[in-house]
Amino acid sequence: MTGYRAGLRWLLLPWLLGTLLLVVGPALITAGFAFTRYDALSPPQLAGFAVFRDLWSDVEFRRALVSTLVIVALAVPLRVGGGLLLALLLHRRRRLDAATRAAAYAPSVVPDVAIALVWLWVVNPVYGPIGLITSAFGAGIGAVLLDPAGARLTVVAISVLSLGEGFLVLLAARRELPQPLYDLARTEGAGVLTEFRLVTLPLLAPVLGLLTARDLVVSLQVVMVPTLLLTNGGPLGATKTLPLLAYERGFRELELGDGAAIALLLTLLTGLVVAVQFRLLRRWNRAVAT
Amino acid sequence: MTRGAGTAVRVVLLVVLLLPAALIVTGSLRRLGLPAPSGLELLPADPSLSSYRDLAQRVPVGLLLRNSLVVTGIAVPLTLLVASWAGFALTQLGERQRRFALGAAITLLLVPLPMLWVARFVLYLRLGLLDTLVPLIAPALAATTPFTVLLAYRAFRRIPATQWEAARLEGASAWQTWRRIGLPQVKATTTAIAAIAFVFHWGNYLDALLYAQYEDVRTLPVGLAELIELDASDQPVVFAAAVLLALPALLGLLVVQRTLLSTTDRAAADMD
Amino acid sequence: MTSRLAVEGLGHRHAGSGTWALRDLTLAVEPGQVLAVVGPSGSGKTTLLRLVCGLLRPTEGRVLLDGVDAAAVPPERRPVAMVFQGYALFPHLTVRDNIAFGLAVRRVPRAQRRARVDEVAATLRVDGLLDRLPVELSGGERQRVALARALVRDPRVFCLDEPLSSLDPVLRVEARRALSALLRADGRSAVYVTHDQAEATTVGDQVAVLREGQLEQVATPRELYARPATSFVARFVGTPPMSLLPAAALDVPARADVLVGVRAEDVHVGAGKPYVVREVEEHGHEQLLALDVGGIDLVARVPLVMNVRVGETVLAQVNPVRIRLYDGATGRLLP
Repeated sequence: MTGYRAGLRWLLLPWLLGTLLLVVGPALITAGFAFTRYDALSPPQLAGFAVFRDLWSDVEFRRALVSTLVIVALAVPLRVGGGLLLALLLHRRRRLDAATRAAAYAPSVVPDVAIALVWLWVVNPVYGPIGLITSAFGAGIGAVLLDPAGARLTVVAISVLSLGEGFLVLLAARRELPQPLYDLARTEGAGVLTEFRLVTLPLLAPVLGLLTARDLVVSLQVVMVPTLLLTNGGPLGATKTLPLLAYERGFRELELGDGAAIALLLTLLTGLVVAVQFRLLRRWNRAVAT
Repeated sequence: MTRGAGTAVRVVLLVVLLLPAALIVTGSLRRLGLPAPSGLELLPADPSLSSYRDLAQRVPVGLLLRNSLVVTGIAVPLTLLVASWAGFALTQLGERQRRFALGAAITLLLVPLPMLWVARFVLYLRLGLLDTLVPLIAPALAATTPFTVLLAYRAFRRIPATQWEAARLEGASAWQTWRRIGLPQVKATTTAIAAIAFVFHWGNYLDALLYAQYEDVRTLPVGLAELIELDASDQPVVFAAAVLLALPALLGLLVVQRTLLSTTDRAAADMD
Repeated sequence: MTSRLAVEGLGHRHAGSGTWALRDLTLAVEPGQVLAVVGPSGSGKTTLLRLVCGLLRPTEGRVLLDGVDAAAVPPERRPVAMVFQGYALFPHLTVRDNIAFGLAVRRVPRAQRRARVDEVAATLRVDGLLDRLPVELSGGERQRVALARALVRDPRVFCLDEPLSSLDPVLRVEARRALSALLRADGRSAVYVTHDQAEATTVGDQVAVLREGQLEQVATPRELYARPATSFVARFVGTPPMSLLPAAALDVPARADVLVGVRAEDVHVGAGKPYVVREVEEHGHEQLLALDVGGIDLVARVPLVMNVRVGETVLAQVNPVRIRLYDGATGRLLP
């Protein structure tokens, strides 16, 4: 008995250690660094909440906060909604479905550097597709990435196109919903929309909730590198999200304490939104149940 | 929605998603030095591989490729082992331990990456591992993403628990049970995990940017990112770089497509 | 002589829910004997097997193998083999590799492994199937392969969990006979778990009846049939089970809350008091009549030639020597 169970623990150990060493430990330690000023050369100096006070009065930080909120507010609903739409559209075994599923997932496996290279062409005003289409209508566009709104929309578009992970999760979740429920809804004469409202949505709600929470993190993560390469946060900080600012402060300006503090604020903000969202979800669940 | 409309939606989706990809591939075959095309050009009149040759002259493709292959060659098997072992162990450990570990895995999915950067940097700095390939391989120790562990767990859970018990009564150790009974029955999921790990490590630019910028340890994404500064007239070279970087990852997609995205997903995972 | 297998005061509590799956169980199995364990689902049968083979640790009490406490012996070193419900054959391995699995993980040399597998396979008539995969086998063949896998380690005690439940009824009779012989061969012993009381009484030398983790009775099949120790056993064992009626309804002189247990063959139809026939059930050469005794059924076994229809009134009386009396409150057999 002990031999086998001990063996199981040994098998679990590498992941536990790896996670402790590379995820849990670093997250806690970064939280500690958030209260210091540290340049990686001289020992870190404890600064307490002064770091956060300085950040709050920092115009660049405030602008990054706004940019982050705008981009997340646009990207997350589109990503989760798009993933849901695709999953519901493509979950069956029909002609073209397999190919369309693969095509929908494809942008998510393309390395982010390649995505940046491609978007460089997409937004090119002279021979990129957007430029070609608009000029065919006699309008033409300027340099998209030099316009704050254009740059932000580009970032959102990049984020929305890499919705593969959520799509995959929703696809699996949709396939696990029991078919008899749908048959029942059909025999009761429910239309597509009623079916969605009364069967699909309530049953997928827990997954959607978790996915939306995760997407607060992922939607920013997938655009980090393309943004860095395409706009470097510009123009005028329109695409400088908090992860980008954390990178810039921590690793370009070697203000690791600042980088850690921005990361901590981002984490707390995510946690707050997740908490509110789960509370809403629970209330909604109760409302549906009664 | 009628069948016809449904098919139309699929066709539109496919075209929207695949046309740019096709244009990029054909664009990379356009002979260098020609003026930019004045409209949409589906296939260059005189296709050539000159952009790829040019690319090889601008960046040390051999070195970049070698480093990328070293990273993926170690990180992918490592991810597989770590994730598969953990997933296997989780199916048989006590209820409380399982809940804790699965809960932790899901919580970890919600931690923003920037939260790890500074401490990881300091860790690698202290261990003298900055500007080596180690920081690029290290994520595999934590199974690359908790997703791989959850996937492995789901696959092993589909096998009836009496099989583990039967193996154990026959004297098999936990390792032998994983190797001889578990692993051979979850080949589809194992391949999918390998594909996920490959896609991550092949395209991993961020970790290189943060911890491994030294010339000799540059991987393919790092080397090719430098082309961003290129002159616009060299568009075919940019396309060539994108193709070179994306192609292996898209081959990984084919693997995922046959398991995770397939309608026969569950059947496939049970059968193999 | 020490028993081949004994459990003393054995109990197991689920770690999660805290409920007892098995409580204070004491039993013994002698060499060459089969103990059949029977009970409704959730009665703790499978828990008992898992405790005996070591997959579970007892919360209280002990498991003794040949008189030695097995607590310190890991499952793979106990001389106990298990045949799982559904057989738990490894689907990706051939029959040969399934049977040889235990030998392979113990690093028995290849030649020796082959010889042993061939020997066991011949015993169980699966020698023609060695290169097949489990999916290519019939239910009966799978069962024999599972037995072969258990037999290959030469166990002293067999643990079988519903070994016939996935076979069709015709195969079941044949398989049961083959099993009965195999389990007792060479002085081996077996614990045979089933939910089917008829199967238990045919296979077992002793039958233990479990209910909600507690032992109701352990006895020979004959004793179990003749003298059920509790009203639960009376209702559970036998086809048909005993009829249980209040003493007053049958004019048996006893306390008011006493239940009278009557086997169907101990009801004589043709003389006595009149009863209405509520139901007639034909079974081959005989038929069972359900007689209405104050709203409760009294089942009588009569020859098929007796022509009775539902709604008729017949005369019947019970054999007063063969009745059993049960305490209405505790369900215990009264002396």
